[in-house]
Amino acid sequence: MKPTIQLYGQGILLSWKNKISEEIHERVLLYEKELTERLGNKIIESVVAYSSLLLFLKEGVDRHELMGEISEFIPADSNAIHESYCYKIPVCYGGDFGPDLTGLARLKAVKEETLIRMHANERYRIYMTGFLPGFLYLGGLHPELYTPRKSSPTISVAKGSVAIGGEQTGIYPQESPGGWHVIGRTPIDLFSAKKPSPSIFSPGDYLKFEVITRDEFNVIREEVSTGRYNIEKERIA
Amino acid sequence: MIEVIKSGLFSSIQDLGRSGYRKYGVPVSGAMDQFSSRLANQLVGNDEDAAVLEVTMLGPTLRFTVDCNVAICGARFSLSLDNTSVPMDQCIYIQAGQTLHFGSCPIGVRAYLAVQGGLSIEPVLGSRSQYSGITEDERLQKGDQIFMHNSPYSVLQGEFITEFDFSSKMIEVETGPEWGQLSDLSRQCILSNVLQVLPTSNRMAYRLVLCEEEVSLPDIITSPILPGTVQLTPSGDIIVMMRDAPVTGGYSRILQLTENGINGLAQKRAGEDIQFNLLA
Repeated sequence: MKPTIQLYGQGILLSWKNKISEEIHERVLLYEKELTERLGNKIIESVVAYSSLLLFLKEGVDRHELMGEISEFIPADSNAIHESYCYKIPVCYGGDFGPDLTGLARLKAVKEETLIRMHANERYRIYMTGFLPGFLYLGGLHPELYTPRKSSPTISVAKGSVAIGGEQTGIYPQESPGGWHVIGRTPIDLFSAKKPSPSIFSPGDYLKFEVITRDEFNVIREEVSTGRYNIEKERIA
Repeated sequence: MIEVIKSGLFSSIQDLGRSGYRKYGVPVSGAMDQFSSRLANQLVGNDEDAAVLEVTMLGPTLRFTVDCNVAICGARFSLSLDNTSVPMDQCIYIQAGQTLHFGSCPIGVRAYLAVQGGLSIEPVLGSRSQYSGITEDERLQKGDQIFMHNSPYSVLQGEFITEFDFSSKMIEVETGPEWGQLSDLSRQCILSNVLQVLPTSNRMAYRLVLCEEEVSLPDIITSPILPGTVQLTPSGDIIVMMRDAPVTGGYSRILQLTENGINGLAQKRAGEDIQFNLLA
């Protein structure tokens, strides 16, 4: 699966088939890992998306020469397994944390508990971060939960809100306007600008939502704000 | 230090932006017109990346509590120090206790106040550019106090004539990743027609409307985007991502503004016309 390669702004864009799939995404991650190693300090940073990779070049690097080099490039180890983790994200569903849960359950003609179970039982793949600092694009939402976005966005969605929009689910890392349906809230911080590594999540990692009570929410929130909370994770590859 | 007596319409501290954190979804931010911000820094002997104050349309009133050298470049503001008019594009000496007042600007949108030594707010993720959710504040408020670094370097004396052509309509662009999806007719339409800047334009994006014509392209799956990327939506909206743009987006990327293009567009006001100049 070879990508098309083109110049894009000051960078080089590699694009695969315009489709969301784990297989394509694994390819993107493989190229990102190996090209970053191979090209070393010619690259300042890179952005991974569903099926594309953008490499930002250091000033003074010959872009055309680099494009040539990348066109010739074949990943050495396409069966390599990269380290990836599944993180447990505690979520308190419903009530004032999930103002759209009742409406959504009614729309889907299921009980609220059923909807929660459908949402919390999945393992979601992290494809990329974008839209807002710390906003993770997750794949794997149960097709029965697909719901078009609201036609008018809510003016203020609370920080930590867990929501469904279109074919996606995600977590709002900060308070913002939003058109997704809010079904719960997590007490953890997904992103902190104060840390040298502002977020622990990487594309290719996974998330699982864990149902917690209101009391547990408050306890975890307290731990998070005093820096004592550690997100549970298990190595899956 | 500088005391903010009036904050102006939208004033914020910016440098050349924060890079290295795009993978966390952190926009680059930085001064909208980096030609003018660099020039202002140059005039006071600063590194081009020193933090400056970006002022927008209606400027602030600032009281200085120490002697210092400053320079203001960019949109043509009427400036006065205590009650005396002072010029742009030149190093000006301010004495402790004096007040610098920015009036309005009939030409351009943004100007840059560089202080010798640079402004010294706490950097976050490697940059002093203010951005909501990253730095503590996203803009100046009345009553704020801004501190500056000491500087051993000397200033550039004398007058300077800026080369910035505020009257030119032309905005420099290159092709974008989805340019090839447009028909020849659509491409010609976009390049040969004038576009108007809409009032909803800001640091994150400029919205443009193609006069008398309509082109559109379908969504793309979420992909990386850059400041300067011109997006075309399925409903025919033309959105140019600017310095505070998110790092990913789902609309077709038809053109890419060069740095000159971004600096130029940053000085265009609502209602003004622009035209894309595609570089070979």
